Amino acid sequence: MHIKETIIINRSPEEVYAFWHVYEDFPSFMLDLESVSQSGPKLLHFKTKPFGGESDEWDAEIIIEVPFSEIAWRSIKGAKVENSGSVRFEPATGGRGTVVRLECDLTLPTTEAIKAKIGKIFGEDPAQSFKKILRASKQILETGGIVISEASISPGHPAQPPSDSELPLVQREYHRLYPVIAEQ
Amino acid sequence: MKANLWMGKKDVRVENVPDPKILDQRDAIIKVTSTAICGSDLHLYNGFVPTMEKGDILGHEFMGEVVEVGRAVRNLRVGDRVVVPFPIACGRCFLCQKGFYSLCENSNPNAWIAEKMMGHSPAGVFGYSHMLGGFAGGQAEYARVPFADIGPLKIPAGLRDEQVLFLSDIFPTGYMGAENCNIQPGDTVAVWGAGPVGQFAMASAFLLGAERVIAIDRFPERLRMARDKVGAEIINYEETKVLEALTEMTGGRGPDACIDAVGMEAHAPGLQYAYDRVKQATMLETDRPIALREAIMACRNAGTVSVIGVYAGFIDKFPMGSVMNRSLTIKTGQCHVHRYLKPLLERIMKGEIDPSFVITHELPLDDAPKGYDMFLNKEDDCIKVVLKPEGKATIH
Ligand SMILES: NC(=O)c1ccc[n+]([C@@H]2O[C@H](COP(=O)([O-])OP(=O)(O)OC[C@H]3O[C@@H](n4cnc5c(N)ncnc54)[C@H](O)[C@@H]3O)[C@@H](O)[C@H]2O)c1
Ligand SMILES: [Zn+2]
Ligand SMILES: [Zn+2]
Repeated sequence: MHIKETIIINRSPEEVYAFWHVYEDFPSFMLDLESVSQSGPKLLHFKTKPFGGESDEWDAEIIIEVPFSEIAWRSIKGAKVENSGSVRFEPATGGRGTVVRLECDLTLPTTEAIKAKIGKIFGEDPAQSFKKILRASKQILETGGIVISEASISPGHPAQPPSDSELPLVQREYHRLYPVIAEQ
Repeated sequence: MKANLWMGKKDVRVENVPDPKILDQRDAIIKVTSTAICGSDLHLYNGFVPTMEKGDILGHEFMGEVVEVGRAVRNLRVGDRVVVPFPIACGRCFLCQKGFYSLCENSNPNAWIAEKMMGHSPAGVFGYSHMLGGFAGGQAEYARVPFADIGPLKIPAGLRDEQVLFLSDIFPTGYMGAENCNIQPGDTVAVWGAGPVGQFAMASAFLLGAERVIAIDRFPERLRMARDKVGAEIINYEETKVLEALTEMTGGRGPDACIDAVGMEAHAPGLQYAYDRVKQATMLETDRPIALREAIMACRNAGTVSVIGVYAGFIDKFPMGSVMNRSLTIKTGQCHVHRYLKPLLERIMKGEIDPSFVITHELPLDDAPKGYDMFLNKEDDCIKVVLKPEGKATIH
């Protein structure tokens, strides 16, 4: 399966690249991830949040790293969902920030059981979950954090404030705080 | 806290819900002192806007006192009195920085739903469906305001809530509707709909230099308000043929600009209404564009049709030939309220306008269900209802 998503972020390619280049911080905007750790000079270890009690884990190698322009990766043999792809950064026309292009190839497994699990990890619609990742990165870079509404508490939640037990689902602490863009 | 909840078609209820909390560093919590029911809320009440959920807190016109601020909010202090604009806007994205706040690229967490329906998504809005964000609204004792460093306008002492509350929506909306008409000296502006939004569109057309303003509606009390409080000439469309009357009043040329302040639930006497009711009921069109069609046909050659009435989906029999062949300009949008807050507050402070003239009823928040019903059915000549979380009923 080939997925292509794109978004414009109101920051320079240098700033956007710098944000995407801190791999350990991916979980701050790829919300299904629990952690990303560097397991070798060009090797990353990915771990998802537990879905149905179980986390998925895989390794990927960084195959392209061109400052301010491109990062590309490829999962290493053994990943349940083989995946490879790239994020490219281009200056938008007229100094309007950066066009970010995310492309990804997923080899989806065939058995129903694993499919159901992939559904959880990449969302019901994988393209949609990649769009979500781009949006989240834009929101953090432009506004300082991921935008949430009362309905973000859980799917179908009415637009009313969280109860005390629901609060941790939406109250966010950012471990990295981006200064907001100065008002013009 | 108490809040007015959407429970289904023609069913709103005031119930207890959890108090809002700061969820983001740029949030503030407001203790609501006044909140209003809008014509836009009627579209929700009548079930014309998709993606509402049982239990959604309604309300996008509200003001109050700041009781808590997130750590990135430096411009507000606890105790400040503020009016909150109805669109939620980050102030930092491309469109916010161009002044199109109701099209903020970041404030709608459910942008993907709106994209499916409209191509691209508008901004999030308080209390206005999940497609527009799923944000809790302001018909409540307290409200969480995201991007509180950008939106809320501080109100100087000495002004009553009733004078400034409508800066949250309907005064800027009417003003933008008139501004979009690019009014020139000598212009005549016709306004369909003499509801609160129409009243402010008419008043603003005069503020912006129109020579004549014509109000079109069927409710005598609304037309009377337009005539006596705003200075408009009036047409009752149930008694007079609108196109003929406008032709006659403008020497055959047509109004220089026409404003649609009615929107998707327009009413009409006769066959056209039945046609659109049936189409809408069978989902062949989602909106009834009766006033819009008439505004287009009436407008003078090379004039402007300014649409501030809300449409949600698709319309039928749109007279594109009339628009194209006669060089009409159509301008529209959810109001970019943030742009207008300071300039319109100044006009209020200078005494050029007192927006409280549209209020006919003030009710305690507990009576919100009664308020919706009265406003929908124009009972007791109801034109605009203000709800008071801590209040008693007064009739203006
Ligand atoms: N663009 C925005 O940002 C924005 C903001 C607020 C409200 N609105 C919209 O503005 C519209 C008006 O709001 P309101 O609060 O004044 O509502 P309202 O329901 O009180 O007023 C609508 C008026 O239109 C009249 N009307 C109905 N059919 C008509 C027709 N065929 N010709 C002439 N008049 C007709 C009704 O009698 C009524 O008086 C609504 O659609 C609302 O959603 C838009
Ligand atoms: Zn409104
Ligand atoms: Zn924005």
